[in-house]
Amino acid sequence: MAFRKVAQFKEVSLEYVSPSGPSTFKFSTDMPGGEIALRYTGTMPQTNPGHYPETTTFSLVDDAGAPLEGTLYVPRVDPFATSANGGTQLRSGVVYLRPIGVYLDGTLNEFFETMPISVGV
Amino acid sequence: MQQVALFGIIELEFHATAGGTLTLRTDLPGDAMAVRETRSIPTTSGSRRVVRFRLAGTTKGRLYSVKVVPTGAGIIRLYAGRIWARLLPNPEWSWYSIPIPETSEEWTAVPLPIPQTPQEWERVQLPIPPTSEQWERVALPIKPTPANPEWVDVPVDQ
Repeated sequence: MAFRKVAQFKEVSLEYVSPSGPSTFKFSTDMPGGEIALRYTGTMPQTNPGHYPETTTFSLVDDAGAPLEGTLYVPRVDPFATSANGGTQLRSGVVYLRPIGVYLDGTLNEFFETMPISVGV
Repeated sequence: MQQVALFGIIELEFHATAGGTLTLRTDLPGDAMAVRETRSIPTTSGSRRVVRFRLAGTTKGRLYSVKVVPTGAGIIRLYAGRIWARLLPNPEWSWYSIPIPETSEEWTAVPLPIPQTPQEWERVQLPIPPTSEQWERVALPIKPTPANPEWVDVPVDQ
């Protein structure tokens, strides 16, 4: 048995303050291709001038509507270009994922094989 | 004592982008694990599906193992599997789970490593030097009067 643990990513929620303008959320994973690459870009709407945090959720799906996948993931937030009314503050964030039981990649010669199993003893 | 089983069907739940190969090995006949059945895993379009692979019906063994290999550069996401078997000499057939690591139906929430912003306000002292409660003795810059007279050269016109 030889295979890697691959996770599917459903969505990410961010609690943030961005009073000067919209910030940008980027999500990179290492699949497909085996290299970390940008897979999703979302806009974090401008928040209220009172600097109260707001929460935004991004659905992490590809163009075909399938969840993003990877063994590694990199979330990134780029602030609004100017900070006239204050810079971007990240308060918290959570990503929803689930590992796939068995993920086999033919290009890596991966396979799944059980040990010899006895049906009845 | 291990019982001999007759194997009838293998059922897999998977998603295969380019198909693959399913191999069943058993230890009978010959008391050595050997390939007894090979089936092609079809390509699935879109999401995952359940496929049943009917076996010859005469395949038997005390031990069995299942192997799944994707075709070429394809991807196989294997979610679950079971085998339809009958323990001889019993007449009943039953499903037995193949130990494939489970894929949870639930999504797990993983916090991002963002440093926490505390709910409480923190008290931080400003860097102002404290004013002492004690008076400090500081000598005035007055030249002291010497105890003995000193000779001083007096400038005289020549």
